Amino acid sequence: MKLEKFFGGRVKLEISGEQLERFLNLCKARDLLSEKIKSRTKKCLEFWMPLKDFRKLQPIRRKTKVKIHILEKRGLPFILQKGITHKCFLTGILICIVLIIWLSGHIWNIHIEGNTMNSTPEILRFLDEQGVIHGIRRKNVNCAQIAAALRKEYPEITFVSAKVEGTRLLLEIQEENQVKEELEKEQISPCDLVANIEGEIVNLVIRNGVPNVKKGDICKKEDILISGTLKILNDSQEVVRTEYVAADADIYVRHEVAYYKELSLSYKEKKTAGKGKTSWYLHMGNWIAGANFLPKENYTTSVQEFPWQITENFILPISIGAITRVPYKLEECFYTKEQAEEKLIEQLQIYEKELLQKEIRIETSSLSMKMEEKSCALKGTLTVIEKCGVQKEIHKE
Amino acid sequence: MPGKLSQKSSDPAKTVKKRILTAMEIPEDLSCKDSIVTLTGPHKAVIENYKNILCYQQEQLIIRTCFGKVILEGKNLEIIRYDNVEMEVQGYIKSVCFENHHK
Repeated sequence: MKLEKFFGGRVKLEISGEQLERFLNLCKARDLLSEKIKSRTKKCLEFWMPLKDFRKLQPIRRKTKVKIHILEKRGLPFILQKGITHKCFLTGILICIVLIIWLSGHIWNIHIEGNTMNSTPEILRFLDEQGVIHGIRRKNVNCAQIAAALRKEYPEITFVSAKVEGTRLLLEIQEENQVKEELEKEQISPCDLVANIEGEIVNLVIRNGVPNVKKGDICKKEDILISGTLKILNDSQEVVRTEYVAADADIYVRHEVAYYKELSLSYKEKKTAGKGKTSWYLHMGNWIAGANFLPKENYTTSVQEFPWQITENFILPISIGAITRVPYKLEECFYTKEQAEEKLIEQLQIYEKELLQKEIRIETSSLSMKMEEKSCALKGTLTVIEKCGVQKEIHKE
Repeated sequence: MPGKLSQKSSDPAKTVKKRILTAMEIPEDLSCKDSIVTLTGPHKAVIENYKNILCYQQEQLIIRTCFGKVILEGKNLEIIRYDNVEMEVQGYIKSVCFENHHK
């Protein structure tokens, strides 16, 4: 509503005469909006009216024989009217229009989606080499050529859709993930699967090759678990010929791992001493101005940079940064027995997560906590189940 | 009985209409165009179903409605907005008076 008033413009009027009430009633009858009506004297009123309604007041004024004075003018039409008389304002508007026309004729956002194997910066770098950059003229963008160039450069890209929408260049990419994997598989030369850890075999799934071990067996390092040499026998169990394949299987082995973690009961803690100070700097290309980057002793320094990002992939090499330095003091603290135990258990959990990431699962654990004067230790053995087997090339006889 | 007779003979059509509208549970401001005056403290009044402004000064505002006049008296009375349906008045309102045509 306020915006509507601003864009439409409104005037503050003063009317004086004998028939003020009749004037108001006629305004109401003709749907002319008047607001904030104030009676100044018996024969004088003040009120606000939209500009479009003010232009319809002439017949009412003639009928009621009142005098109308404009006291105040507000809104965009009056600002424009004032501005037009100023040369600078007019020039500004003209420059603005020219800029909008010029800017709308260029590509300011290159949006890439569907890419998983090739990163967006990598594709953008390639497009850059091809001359497709942020700010390129729309007329110079050849979508079919871009799509063909992308498919040629990246063989894993099976489909590219390039289109220009406004000032955006949209690239939709489809990649075939399996192509590479299959190619790699095909290229693998005949090999055996050899044990790389010692332990008891708990599970094995064979995909390719002849197994030399079974569930429950104990394997030692360098033992051949799955052989890639296939001996083809005839009916009399004689070797007719030998074929070689790449042995492939999932073999899980149970074995024990020693665990030892010691924690010193004393530690140094950083405690904030006073308020931090923030200084600002300007970063343009390789040039930095306005701040000292050198690290200060006994200060925690954090740097935050705000790049000037016009669109999602169009980042100008200009950024503003803030360096915050907070002073701190080092204080010696001590863990209590409970805190130390908690800390060690936390570390064990982190270790367990790390093992899980390597596909190693802890089956059982036999650990004991030992508290000493200056330290606390958690030690023992972990029984883990781990994937076993590395490929070893076969030397054909 | 004579009282009853005289009432019937005075405006029988109006009485019947009013009875029907009451039975239909239509609010009186819609059925009889009665005006509604809503006061919010002594500083704000909203008048609905009015006809026109008869007199407007800082101390007095007289409005014509279907059944008579509504007289608002006070200080620094200001008409914030008004249209064909309602009018909002602000200022210090001392009194609100209803004056009937048939008085």
